[in-house]
Amino acid sequence: MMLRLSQRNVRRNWTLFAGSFVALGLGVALLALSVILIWSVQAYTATVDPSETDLLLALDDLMAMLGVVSGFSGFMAIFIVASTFSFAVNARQREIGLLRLVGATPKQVRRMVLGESLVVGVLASVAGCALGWLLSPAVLWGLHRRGLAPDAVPLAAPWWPMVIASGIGISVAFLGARVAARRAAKVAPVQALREADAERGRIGVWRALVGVACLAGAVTMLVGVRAGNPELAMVLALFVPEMIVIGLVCLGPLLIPQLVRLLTLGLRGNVLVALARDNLVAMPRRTTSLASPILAISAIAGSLILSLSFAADWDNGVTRQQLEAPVVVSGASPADGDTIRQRGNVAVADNGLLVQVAIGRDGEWDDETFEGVDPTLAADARGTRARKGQLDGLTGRSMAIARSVAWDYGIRLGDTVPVRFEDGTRMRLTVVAEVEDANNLQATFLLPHTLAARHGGEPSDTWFVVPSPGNRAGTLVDELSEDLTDGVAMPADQWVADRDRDTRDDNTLSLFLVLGPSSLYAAIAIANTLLMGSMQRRHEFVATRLVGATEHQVRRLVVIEAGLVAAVALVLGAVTTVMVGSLLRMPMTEGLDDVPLTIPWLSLASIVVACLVIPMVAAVAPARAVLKEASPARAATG
Amino acid sequence: MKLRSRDDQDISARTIDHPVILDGITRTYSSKAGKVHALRGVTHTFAPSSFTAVMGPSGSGKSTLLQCAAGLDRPTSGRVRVGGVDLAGLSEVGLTRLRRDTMGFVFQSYNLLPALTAHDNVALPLRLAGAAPGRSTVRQVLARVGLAELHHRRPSELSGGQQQRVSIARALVSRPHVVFADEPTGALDRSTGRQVLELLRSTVDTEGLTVVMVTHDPVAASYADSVLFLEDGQVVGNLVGADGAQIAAHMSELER
Ligand SMILES: Nc1ncnc2c1ncn2[C@@H]1O[C@H](COP(=O)(O)OP(=O)(O)OP(=O)(O)O)[C@@H](O)[C@H]1O
Ligand SMILES: [Mg+2]
Repeated sequence: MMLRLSQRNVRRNWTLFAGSFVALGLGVALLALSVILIWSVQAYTATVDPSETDLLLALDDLMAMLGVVSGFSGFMAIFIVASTFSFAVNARQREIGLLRLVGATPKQVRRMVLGESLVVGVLASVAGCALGWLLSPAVLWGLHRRGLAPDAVPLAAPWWPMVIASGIGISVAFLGARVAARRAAKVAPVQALREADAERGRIGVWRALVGVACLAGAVTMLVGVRAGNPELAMVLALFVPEMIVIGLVCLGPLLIPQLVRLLTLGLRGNVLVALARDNLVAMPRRTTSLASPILAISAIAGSLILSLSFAADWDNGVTRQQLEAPVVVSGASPADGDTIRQRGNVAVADNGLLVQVAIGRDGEWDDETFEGVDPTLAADARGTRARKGQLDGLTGRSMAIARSVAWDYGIRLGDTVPVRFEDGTRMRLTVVAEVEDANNLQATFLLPHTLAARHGGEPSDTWFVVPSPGNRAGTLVDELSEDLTDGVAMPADQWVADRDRDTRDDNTLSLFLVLGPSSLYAAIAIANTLLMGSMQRRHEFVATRLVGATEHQVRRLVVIEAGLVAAVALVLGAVTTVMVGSLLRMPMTEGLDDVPLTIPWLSLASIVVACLVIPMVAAVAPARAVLKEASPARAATG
Repeated sequence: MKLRSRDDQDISARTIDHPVILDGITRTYSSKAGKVHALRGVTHTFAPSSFTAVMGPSGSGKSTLLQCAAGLDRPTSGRVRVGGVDLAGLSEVGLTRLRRDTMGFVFQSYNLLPALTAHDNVALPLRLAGAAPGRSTVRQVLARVGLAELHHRRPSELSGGQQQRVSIARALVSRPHVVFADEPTGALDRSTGRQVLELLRSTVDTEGLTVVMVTHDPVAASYADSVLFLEDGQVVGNLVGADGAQIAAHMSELER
């Protein structure tokens, strides 16, 4: 019985559910796509010759990336289903009250809302699976074109991935709708009799607890984990903003009205602003539902963009702080290496030997790139120095690790680590030093130069060169440029700037992959809720017209309201972004004297503009139509 | 129609004897502006198979009285008994069950579910109670309110008077013992209003229903057996068998 009612509700009020449907459908599509690709890649990996380590590493990276992208989109999908469903419940308080009045028990109402989510979930899963399946060949081809996937991966059969994706899609719909369903069950029958919707800004104990716990947890993670490396910072930047967003949305009905008051503090002389403010403050839950997708995407995208930029700053700071060599040659061939070494006016020519080494851990072998270095040369040219232990000891069977690896792998100074070289030799290496991370300058695993040479180490294409005393770097660059066949010599500053640009370009690509789909959902959800918000308020608009507002004034009112909602959400999003960014930056810059501060204003500004424009347009578009159709004259006659 | 359980039969039997008894009920709303005493001690028995109109100036507590009597609102103090059952002792689910088995509601704004056709709106209370009503049951009730032909229309395709008649059909379909109506003719023109009133009157006369109706209109009140007057949350009069003119006179005295 309730399921049939759910079906009809969805059919009739489909506009209320369109946002959930699209967000969920895209989420399932993305998930189906990812799972199909992961499935295919895995099947393909099994057929790859284990000696092709590069290919295997690339496949591993690809799977990890697909995992992050789909996990992230999953969160946004749950979030958007939750907020659009709670909006849909809130918008139908009278209708739900009426159901209660004619005899529905709270449980039946809850089942009805869950039934609605089931209907939306099933429809969205079917559509999403079809879309994901259709897109998978194209995406695989695109990944290949981008150099992210190998050529010949055959597509696996889509059935299991589709089952998994739709299972997750339906559960996401259910989970997202649960809170809304519980709230719907609390609607009292008298709600049906109230002409004026009324809300209280109070929130339940559980909601308050969850909100506070999320915020406290987020801050503890940011402050407590002394994230000294950009990889961990990246992980935190991915997940902490989500916790903050959940916390803020839980506390929204308390917080957001106050913020609306604050933002309109000096503007109450304007009658439209005052009216907009009162409308928003009187309906704290509704306002929260409208604000939450904007808050989510601005906080999450903002934090990620800022944190990645700060991580790049950190890389840059570390590189500049450590790099001693005034001249760097990149893209050098082995012949170029000889040329550099044999020059008379070169004091230090430092070059690492790269070698693939498998590290044995709990019976498994992890492939890693080791760099064979001469500790004295590396110290003179790249400023490589030990944080713990002694780099001088990097001779014989020994190795050194970067601080982030020590943290990540749990390898400690003095450990003996079983390794296997590409030539099949096995041995145990003693960890003699832990060095500061410097991703641009050296690998995260170091071993003696001679050891690398003995086991097939290939010279890296980068040389760090210090001219002999009395020789100017500029002259050396000019002279090298003439002699080198493949390599390019340049002043260290320029090389650092190039690395910085590379890092930021890579970041842009990952940001695009991670944020692209979620931003799309968010935009759809924002447009949908605001559109619905305006359609729902038909009577109110007409009443406002009746008391003498011009059509133009009503439209302005709608735009001001939407703008205020967006502004409040953006303020909270900005606070989150600044908090996450600065708390992650603090431990990273510790101990470095000169870290640049790069704030990606352009990206951040485009988020702000999109978050303001989309809601305002979405809110005013239906208002125009509604106002045309319902002139006050018609309203007056009923 | 679903089979009534033993329990329900008991309630029915007792409801016929003493449908709705209000015993010294008060209702105080507290809002930011201070306390509002909507009801200040109302004691009244709505006799079985009677049609009672409730009148009084705006804000005198008529709607509050109705809502307390129907268990939609809980009184601050005092007791409400419906069919011998004390409403204070019932849980939310218990109240819902009691309401759907023994009460029907009609309000000024028609309160139909926009997603459902007239037929499905009328069938809804029975479905919610777990019964699978036959088409003919619903058609009969719709025919009684003169809408047999329009059963497939949605509320948005019906006039105000037609919507009101659908909501009366919905109130009657579960064969309640009491129908509560709050200004059911408030939004209707004179002749449509009269149809609705005659419909309520005939249910009392032919089926022994009890009707409690809030109204501002003396003519509407004259369809009732007795008129209960409220002022400032208290009962200030009870006219039995009065005509429209007498009721109007009484009202204007109150409003002076
Ligand atoms: N939810 C509420 N909160 C605070 N005060 C309320 C609330 N509902 C009603 N009141 C107050 O209680 C009093 C009685 O209200 P009630 O709705 O019962 O009046 P009424 O007799 O039905 O009036 P009308 O004829 O205008 O419908 C009024 O003063 C009203 O302001
Ligand atoms: Mg009233």
